[in-house]
Amino acid sequence: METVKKVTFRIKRWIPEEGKFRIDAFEIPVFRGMTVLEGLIYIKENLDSSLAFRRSCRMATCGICGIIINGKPMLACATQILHLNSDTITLEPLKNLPLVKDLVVDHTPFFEKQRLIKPYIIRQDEGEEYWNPTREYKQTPEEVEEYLQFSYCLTCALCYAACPTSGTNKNYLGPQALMNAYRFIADSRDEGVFIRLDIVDSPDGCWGCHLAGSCSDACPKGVDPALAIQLLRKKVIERDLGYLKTVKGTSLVSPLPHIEGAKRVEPPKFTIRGAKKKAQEILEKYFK
Amino acid sequence: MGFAKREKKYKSKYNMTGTLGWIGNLRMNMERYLYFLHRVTGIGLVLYLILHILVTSSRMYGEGAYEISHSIINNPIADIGLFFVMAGLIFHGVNGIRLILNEYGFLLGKPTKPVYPYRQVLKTRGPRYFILLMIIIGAILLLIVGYELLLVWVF
Ligand code: HEM
Ligand code: SF4
Ligand code: SF4
Ligand code: FES
Repeated sequence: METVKKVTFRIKRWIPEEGKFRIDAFEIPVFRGMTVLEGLIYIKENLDSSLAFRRSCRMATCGICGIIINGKPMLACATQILHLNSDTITLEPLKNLPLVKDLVVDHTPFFEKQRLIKPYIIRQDEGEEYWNPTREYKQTPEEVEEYLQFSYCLTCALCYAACPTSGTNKNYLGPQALMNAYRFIADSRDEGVFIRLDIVDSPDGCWGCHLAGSCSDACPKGVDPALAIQLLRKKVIERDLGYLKTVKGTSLVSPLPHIEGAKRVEPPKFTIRGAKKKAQEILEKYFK
Repeated sequence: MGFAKREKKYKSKYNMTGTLGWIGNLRMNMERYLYFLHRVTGIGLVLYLILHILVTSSRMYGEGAYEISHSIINNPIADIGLFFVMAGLIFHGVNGIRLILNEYGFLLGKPTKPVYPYRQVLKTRGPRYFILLMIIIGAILLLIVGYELLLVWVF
């Protein structure tokens, strides 16, 4: 592909052995449409094979390639170098998370916080159907729209890196987890509203947000966590004033008519050895 | 929620933006600046309140002490300072009303379908016009304050 210009990447690399940052500069040839991630791959292949960064899907879906590009948290794979309109581009590891190496950070605290708010449908009538579902719960298109926007989150932690509260309070649940709490509260199939409100009703929860709006500004999927958090607070207030009634989740759809010779489609087999055991372990640990 | 305590578990330093990150190294949206100004004016107002209590409490030590402490602040320079305190108070007040309403989920509307180009509710007309309205109210209040202070020294 034709090179249109040369751009310098100034990469702020975390050196774990020394416990400090080092800034390295690399000059790379840029072609039209080249993303920052492709630039990083170019460096790894041609200039410095020791450079560490994370990527998987390279199409804004897996949410692992988030870094700070020119001072703003962005997905490396969804940012074109030429769109940045500058000859030097500074790259840093994501903020507010533990550093691992170079541009790699440890997302564990971020994921653990999401887990704290119970990011799954909670039912009071939990039983055989809940654990081994045979049918779906009913939901109208209008009910889907109540939470659809918030379900587009790809857990990239860009909002978490942009938020000033996350930047000073390690215990703050963060925009993503709070948004996710509202995503499930707004879901008409869910019955866990009071459980989740108890979890988020704290200075480390929804009251830690100061409506700086940076989370929504950083989000690559238009999830708008700032909006979700304010709606979440409204729910807390409604509960405290006694307006919030116990919600009854929607019922199951009626069973399909029996079709001669039809079989239940089994889920695909695990392709990685040991993955099934691991998945069961996680299920038992967090969901039981 | 216990995360700070478990820092050692991650064997590595957190890459926190910290207090400087309030305004920090992130390219910011408008509300982020308002957030920063709100903090700074809030802290400034607390400092002013302490000063104010110190000055007025001199009355406890008799009328003479009160006269002396007031003669120190009774000049145009101190009143210019007072003008900035009032500017801070007015900003904090009008922005505070915006925050109270928005932070309890009012005037923000409903979630939308996530269709490109994505919408951020804070950047839609409602909240932005509300900020404009607050700026206008703030400017009018500030003009009144400035006029009153000018009355003392000029006319
Ligand atoms: C004029 C009426 C006032 C209103 C409507 C108001 C409103 C507010 C609101 C809504 C917040 C929370 C902001 C957030 O969520 O980040 C706040 C924070 C604060 N206010 Fe006020 N306030 C007023 C007067 C004052 C005064 C007179 C003082 C000082 C004595 C003050 C000091 C503070 C401080 C220190 C904060 C914390 C700042 C922060 O956490 O960012 N406020 N105010
Ligand atoms: S709106 Fe709230 S959660 Fe979002 S960045 Fe600001 S303080 Fe953080
Ligand atoms: S809310 Fe947006 S920025 Fe935050 S983790 Fe989800 S997709 Fe990323
Ligand atoms: S590589 Fe998957 S989101 Fe960028």
